[in-house]
Amino acid sequence: MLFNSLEFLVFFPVVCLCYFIIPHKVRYLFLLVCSYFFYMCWNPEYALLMLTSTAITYASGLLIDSAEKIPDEGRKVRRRKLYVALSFISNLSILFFFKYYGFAADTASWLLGMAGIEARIPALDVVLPVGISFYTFQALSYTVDVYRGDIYAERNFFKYALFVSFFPQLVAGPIERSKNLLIQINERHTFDFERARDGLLLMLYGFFQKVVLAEYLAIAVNSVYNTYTERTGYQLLVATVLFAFQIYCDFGSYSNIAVGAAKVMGFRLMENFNTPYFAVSVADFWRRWHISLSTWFRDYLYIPLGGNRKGKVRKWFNLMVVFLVSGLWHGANWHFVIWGGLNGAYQVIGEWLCPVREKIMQVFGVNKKADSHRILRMLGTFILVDFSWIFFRASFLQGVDIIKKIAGFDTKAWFTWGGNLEAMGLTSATATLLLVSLLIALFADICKYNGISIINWLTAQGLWLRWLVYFAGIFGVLIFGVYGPGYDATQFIYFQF
Amino acid sequence: MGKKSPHIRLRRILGTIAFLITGILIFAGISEIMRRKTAEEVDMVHSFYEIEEDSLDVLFLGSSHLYYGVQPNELWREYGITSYVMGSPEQTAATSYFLLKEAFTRQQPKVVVMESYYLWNKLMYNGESRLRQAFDGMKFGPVKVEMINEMLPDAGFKEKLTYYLPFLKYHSRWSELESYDFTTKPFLKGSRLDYTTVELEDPGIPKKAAAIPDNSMEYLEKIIRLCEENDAEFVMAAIPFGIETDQKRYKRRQGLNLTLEEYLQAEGIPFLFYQRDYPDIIDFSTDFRDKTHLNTNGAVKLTHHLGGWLKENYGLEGHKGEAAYESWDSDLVLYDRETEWVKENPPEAGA
Repeated sequence: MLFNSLEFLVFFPVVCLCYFIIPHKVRYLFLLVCSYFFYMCWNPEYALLMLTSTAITYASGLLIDSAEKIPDEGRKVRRRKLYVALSFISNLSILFFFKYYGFAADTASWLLGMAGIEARIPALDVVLPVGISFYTFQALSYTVDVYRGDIYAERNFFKYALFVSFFPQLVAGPIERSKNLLIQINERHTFDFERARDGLLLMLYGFFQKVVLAEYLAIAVNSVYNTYTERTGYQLLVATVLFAFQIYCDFGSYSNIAVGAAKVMGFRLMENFNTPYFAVSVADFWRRWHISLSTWFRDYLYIPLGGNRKGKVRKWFNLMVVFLVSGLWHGANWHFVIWGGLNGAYQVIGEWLCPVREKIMQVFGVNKKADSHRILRMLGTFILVDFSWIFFRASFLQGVDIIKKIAGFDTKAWFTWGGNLEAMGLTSATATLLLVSLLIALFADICKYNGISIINWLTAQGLWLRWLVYFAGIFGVLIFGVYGPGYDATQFIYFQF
Repeated sequence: MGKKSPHIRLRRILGTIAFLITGILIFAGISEIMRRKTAEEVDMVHSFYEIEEDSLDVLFLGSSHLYYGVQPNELWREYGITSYVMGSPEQTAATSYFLLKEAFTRQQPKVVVMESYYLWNKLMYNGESRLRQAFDGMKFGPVKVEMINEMLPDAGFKEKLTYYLPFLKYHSRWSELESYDFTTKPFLKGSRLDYTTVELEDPGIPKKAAAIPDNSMEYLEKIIRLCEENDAEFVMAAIPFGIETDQKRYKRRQGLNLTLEEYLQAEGIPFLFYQRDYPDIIDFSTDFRDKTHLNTNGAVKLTHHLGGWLKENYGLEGHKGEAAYESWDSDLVLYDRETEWVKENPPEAGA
């Protein structure tokens, strides 16, 4: 079920209420059942897939742990590595089959075709299991963490199964670590008014980001991108900037709702977004964007590849590998790989050109600590990141066309007066709403960037102001949100990955 | 997470309850504003609830022919008869049935008058918007539940819910709100005002009778039974209309009244077939707002006759001068003011 659905609005309060009523001992079993129910609302059969991944990684933990008892050091190491390899191979095979088979088959037949061989690779009609990339990565991290001795091997299968399937973050993250989440399953959570209120406020902000911001931004972006051949360069430029906000609000909303929902029940999930568009470099952006995934790649791919310990060239190679794989993780399509590649290349080129940049700044006497400099860097980073988003949103060839148009290489005029709002599927009312909402979101991020907690500030205020803001938030979402009949709750963008 | 004192706990519990209640009240208020646009300023069906319980003499049922053709305020002015037009666009017999059933939960009218035109339609309702225009204004209750289950047998839970909570359907209307969404005109008692005039000729009454669809008959019979159960007299009326599109269709729809007359005669139910039996009341050259609906001039004339007929046949003495009915006098003042305004501000052509 979707967060922005009527079902969830019923499901969540009922789950919370029962969670705090039933005895502590059985709570994890209850949450496990709820989580599987939550997942099975999409596709009941695929719960078996999640169960399989759970069983494999659960077993890998126990086996790695049991290998500790092997007296022969060499054999012990080999055995432990074998179990890690088996867990990765089996889990990634499932992921490959369900997510990448079609993509690989297409690519292979295209390559063979280029070589003059006509090959018929059988097509498989499989539906992508929701959230498979998320829970597979989460489960795999457990195998490595046990291997590294960062976490004990969980003996209770059901507790472990809850760690993999915990419904708030199941289908779109944050991708949790066993070090953080698994141990919380043993905690005794009592109902805490302030914690619940803060969690609900975070959820409310998430709903605002999703049903008001992301949905209206989607209308604008889709209107332009879906008919990009008829659009002017100016409209495409605006839509491209708006897409950067759309994907942030969409994905950020899911994380906020997930963190908030978990918080109500007493679970602390990791932060997934930290004002990403205030990043001053692409590397900084990736420390602030989808943090749970970036750190996953850092811990389980970049560092095992050698990280930055094996010289500059090797580091750059590792970076490129990480970002190409990350691109593929986001979607089984070459344009995602290009998107990932661009983000890797930005960082490699940025580091490579670092001495030149330093020299230039020295010559011109740029004060690196000045806000003016920081703002320029933020702007530059945003442009680079947003440029790469074009290949996230559109296929490669479409993306190239769009860039050409934005750059002015088009027979059509780059800018025309009038008709721009209509081209974006907006009216003056919805455009005003969108602008005001974007300003609210910008304000929220500015506060967060400067370490000001709006929730803490708000909850310290007098009743009239608190309630005013709460009700404005609730009814703002209810009235201005895009939802309900005639409207098919558009899936969260990240569900397909 | 230290233990809180009982005082703080109690304050929080009460605070949460107060918060929820306030939220529900705001929600109800906003829902109302968003809903009204469906019923426009007349606040069709919903303004019925503003009438004091057990104070109605006459209830009217029917489609647009009715709410353009009868003026409850004129009935009050002349005869002291209290009435309400429970009309809705393209009101089918099934729709009339449920609206009547709801009306009986609050009023005990002595006479129920149903306009016959829309019996021609064989459906339960003619499209979602017509269903909503008739029932969104209806308050929650057993009749609404029954109506939704019977009208929408195949609808899923979520779709049905949008009839109980129309907000789910209408929240996106925020950008279309106008002043009349905030101030409705319940004093019109369900009827509409329009002084537009088009010149028509009376096409006459066809000779050939046309059949009434089964569904309409089924619900007409139910309506008759319902009136019997509630000790209300049942009367049918056919308000005059002209040719909207073509002769053939006109003859079919007007011919339906011939079949109806035969049926009603057998049942012993009076039928006021105005176009045939009282041709002098309505002047086709001055009394129509379009090809099929009376304008307010026509409505006043027809209401004048209808009131006299009701008084004579059912001994409706009227309530003029009774203290409990003072609001009908003040509503009449508002109505007169409104008619002046409408005369001076005719709707734009094509509206």
